[in-house]
Amino acid sequence: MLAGLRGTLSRLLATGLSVVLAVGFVVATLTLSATFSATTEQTLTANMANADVRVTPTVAMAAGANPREFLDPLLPAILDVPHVAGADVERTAYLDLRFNGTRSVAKASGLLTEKVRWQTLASGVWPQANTEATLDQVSAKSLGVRIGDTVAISAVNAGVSPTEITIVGVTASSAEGAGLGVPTLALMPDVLLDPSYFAVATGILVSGDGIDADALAASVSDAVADTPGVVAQSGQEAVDYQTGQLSGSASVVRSILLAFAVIVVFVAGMVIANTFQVLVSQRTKDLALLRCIGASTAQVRRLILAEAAVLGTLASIVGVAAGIGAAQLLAMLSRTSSSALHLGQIAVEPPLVAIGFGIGVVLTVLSALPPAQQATRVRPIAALRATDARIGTRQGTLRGAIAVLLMAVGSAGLYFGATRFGLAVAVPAAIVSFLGVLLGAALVIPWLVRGAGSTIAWTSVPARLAALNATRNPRRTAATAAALLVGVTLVTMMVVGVESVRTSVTDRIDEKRPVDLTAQSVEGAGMTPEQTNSIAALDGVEHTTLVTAGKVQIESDASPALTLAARGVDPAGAQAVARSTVATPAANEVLLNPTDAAGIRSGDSLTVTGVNVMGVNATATLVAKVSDDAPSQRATFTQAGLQSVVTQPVTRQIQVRLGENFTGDQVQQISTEILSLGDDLRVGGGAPERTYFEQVLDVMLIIVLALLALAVVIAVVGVGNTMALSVIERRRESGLLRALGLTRGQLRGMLGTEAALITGVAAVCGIGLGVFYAWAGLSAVALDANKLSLTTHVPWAKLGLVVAGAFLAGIAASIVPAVGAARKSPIEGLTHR
Amino acid sequence: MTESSEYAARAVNLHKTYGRGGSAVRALAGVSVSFPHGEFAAVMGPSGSGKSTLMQCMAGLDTGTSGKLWIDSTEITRLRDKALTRVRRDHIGFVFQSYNLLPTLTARQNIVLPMNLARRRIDREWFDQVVQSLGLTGRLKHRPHELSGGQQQRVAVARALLGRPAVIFADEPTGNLDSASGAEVLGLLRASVSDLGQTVIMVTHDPVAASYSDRVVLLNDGRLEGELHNPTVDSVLAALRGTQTSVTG
Repeated sequence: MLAGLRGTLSRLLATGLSVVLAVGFVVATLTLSATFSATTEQTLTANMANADVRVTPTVAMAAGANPREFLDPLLPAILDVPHVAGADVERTAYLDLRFNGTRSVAKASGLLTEKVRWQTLASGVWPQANTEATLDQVSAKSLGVRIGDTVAISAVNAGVSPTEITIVGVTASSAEGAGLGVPTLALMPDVLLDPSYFAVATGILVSGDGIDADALAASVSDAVADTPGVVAQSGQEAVDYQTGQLSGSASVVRSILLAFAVIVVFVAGMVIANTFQVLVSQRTKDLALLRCIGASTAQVRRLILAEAAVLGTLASIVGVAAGIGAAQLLAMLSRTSSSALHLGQIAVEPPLVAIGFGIGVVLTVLSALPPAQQATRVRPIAALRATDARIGTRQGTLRGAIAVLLMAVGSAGLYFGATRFGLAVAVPAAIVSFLGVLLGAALVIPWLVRGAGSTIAWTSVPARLAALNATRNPRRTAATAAALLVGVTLVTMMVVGVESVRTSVTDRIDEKRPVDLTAQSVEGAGMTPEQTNSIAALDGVEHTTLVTAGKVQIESDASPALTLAARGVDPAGAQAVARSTVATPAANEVLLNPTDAAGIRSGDSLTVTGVNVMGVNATATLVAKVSDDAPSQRATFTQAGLQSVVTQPVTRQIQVRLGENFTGDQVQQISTEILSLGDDLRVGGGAPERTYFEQVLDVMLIIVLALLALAVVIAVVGVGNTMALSVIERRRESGLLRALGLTRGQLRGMLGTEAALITGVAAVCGIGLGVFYAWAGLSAVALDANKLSLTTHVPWAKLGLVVAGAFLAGIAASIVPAVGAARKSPIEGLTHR
Repeated sequence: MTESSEYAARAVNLHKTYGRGGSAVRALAGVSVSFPHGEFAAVMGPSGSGKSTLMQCMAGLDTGTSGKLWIDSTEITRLRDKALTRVRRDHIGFVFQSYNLLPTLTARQNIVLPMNLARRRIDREWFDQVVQSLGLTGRLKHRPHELSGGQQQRVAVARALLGRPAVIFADEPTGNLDSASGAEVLGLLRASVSDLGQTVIMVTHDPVAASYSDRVVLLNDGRLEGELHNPTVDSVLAALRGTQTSVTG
């Protein structure tokens, strides 16, 4: 039996590969989701590393009371509780951190008493005085701060002069705060009591003297029972509580990953079954010989199943190792990259590994069942004769009828789900219709392949033969194409879905916040020309336009006098920096938002007078333009228009348009550079939001595509197997064609064309189905969340890449069998058997 | 093939050894034989005499270990695979024992297959003449599995004749046919030589089939054993018995 395995070792590689990929995927998926849960838990309890109990304000309380000090009165009472070894209030503030001409927002927390302190030092010492602090390792590196350096801190957006402090220690990075990317300082608690920093108390950490955490939690609870709005929780309780608040994101991630695992197992199952058919067909003669010399059908079946079991076991072992390795690699990558997801040490759970292993073995043996059955049905003597490919197989009319029914019901449900009823109808309908598609594939795909083949058949004889050969075994062709169809459909669905969401979201951001970045000065004198020129000259800045400001009084027949802030814009420049159409005034117009207009209508004549601090007022008569798109609480003029009433308007703001495809890091960089130009500057704009969404969606798309690409890879391995089987079955024909004058290249081309036809049809059908499902899904989501306007956006270029990729992969998959077939001399094929 | 050679096919001192060392099998041990244009030759010999190997090497389906081979005036022993394939396509016709038609193609498509592969224009008159003389006129749209064995073999003969090759190699063309169909096919091959000047080299072990030929070449143990001109069934049987005795004795 093992000899049989060894003899066909190279042929088993394809099956083994499918099993390894499938098992590896399942194991990696389960391990990653376990790791994700573990990491979430660690993150949530990181600050309880040395505390047994945490007193946490409930959400309602935190909003109501004075968040700075409402926890402090509780501290003495808690310290009086028996068995309490130490307790301290956690305090956090956000403040400006300046170092070497850069300014950034830092998170500062008060240094906790040693008993409950959870941060650890990487180097240096803890602060001893109010002028000392520690900085986290990542930021220390990125800012270039070393121990002994002096940084300046000040309250955000306040005129208070900065305080100098010395960095005396560097804290080790931990899971906590991972991905925030904010410099984190630990200062003496007294520093944060300065009201200008507006430090918020976030909780009280309590450590016991070795007593059981739940018992301590109970006694602390009693001590704080009189204060409404706080709860005392042990570590586990806190995790449960906060996980509940995060609406079980870990389990959501787990179920998404599992859905992909199911898809991969499904595709792998199809491919493994096909591969076993190849293996059994290749050995029909051996198996028949066994039957001739007296092996019973049961023995032959057992032989094949035992082989499958051995193969499944070996491949699953490799798959488990590969899966754990892949999970490890991904977890490491997540820690080094700037992605939003940081995973801790991977958690390998034996039960999960066993599941992956079991799936591999069971899947392989189950896949080997049909071919084993088929092999035993062959009459011994028939199998010993030369095998010519059979033509035509029975058509399952019942199967066809069921398929049509499922597709009709599913598509109708999907259509109505998308246009009327929403996801509740669309999701089941999608599943029903896809089942119909898979069932119907056996009937429809050969027909489509024949159709596609007839379009190329006229070009050359090899092309015609390829077209004819592609549908000689319709069931096998259909099974091969269906595996690919599943993969391409899902890839398309995700690409279209994510692209549509991205387009809809960025369109909305463009509309709401048309300007990428704005910088404005809080000083009365406005921005200096040096500042605006420097900003315009920054790397990555494409266009800029200036906005001037003043104050005006508007009088008209329709309303009492209005006093409004005024801005002067350059209409052409304002439009050039905006990502959507913005409302701009003409030279003689004043643009007003209806909420400020107080009865003024478009076209009304207005008398506008500058309200100037210096007392030099000018008056002009202008025409009102009232528009919903106009900014509220200000009157917008052209710059010349504003100057005609306000003699010396200040440059209040510069609007910046960045180049295309900017990243979040670039936006951060430019913002930092702008902030560093002056303490009076503030940065705003839609770019951070845009890049945040784009980044989140891109990360999502990449992860999903990586998962689905595996399904496609397995399907392509299946195409290679089918071609290998075809080559074996048609060895004689290939020999004949070579004898009659088909060159090696033409033979290879013929097989390549055949593979390309099958993959091409599968890819095109997959794209079509994927776009349809994506449209239905997006429409249904938009219906359910009726405020969300989602339009289906089909990225044809990307889908073209998908088709081209599947096409090339299919041709590549035919290379190995084709080269093998072409290498044989014609006589080898002709005299075989 | 600018100028035509005297012979349609020729082998000089052809050796063919399978395997190496102690287990080496000598299939051909220095065979020199020439087949002139317009001859219907039969190659005969007992099993293992090397007759099939000789045909396969001469037809460019297999390569000899040493020696030289010509098809018409082209020395095919020097050719690489691509050029050799062209020679087969353009200058050699094949008829096999098991017909070897492509099951996916109709009779007509099978007949014109080599011409299509070569992208050569099909001479309609010649096509009609071949099809008519082989009695296939009503069968052109059928696929092989819809035809009888004799009909399939006639399609194969038509395929070989259509390209007017320098030589047709026929490997046991009547091996799978009943005697009536066999006689029909042999008569057709005979006629193609007599009436059309086609060259045919046929490998067979059937003395009746050999009796249709102009000359029988006898092979034994990979060597040429003799020739028989204008053979009859009896003279072939006698000659074969001679080779048998020479083997055993």
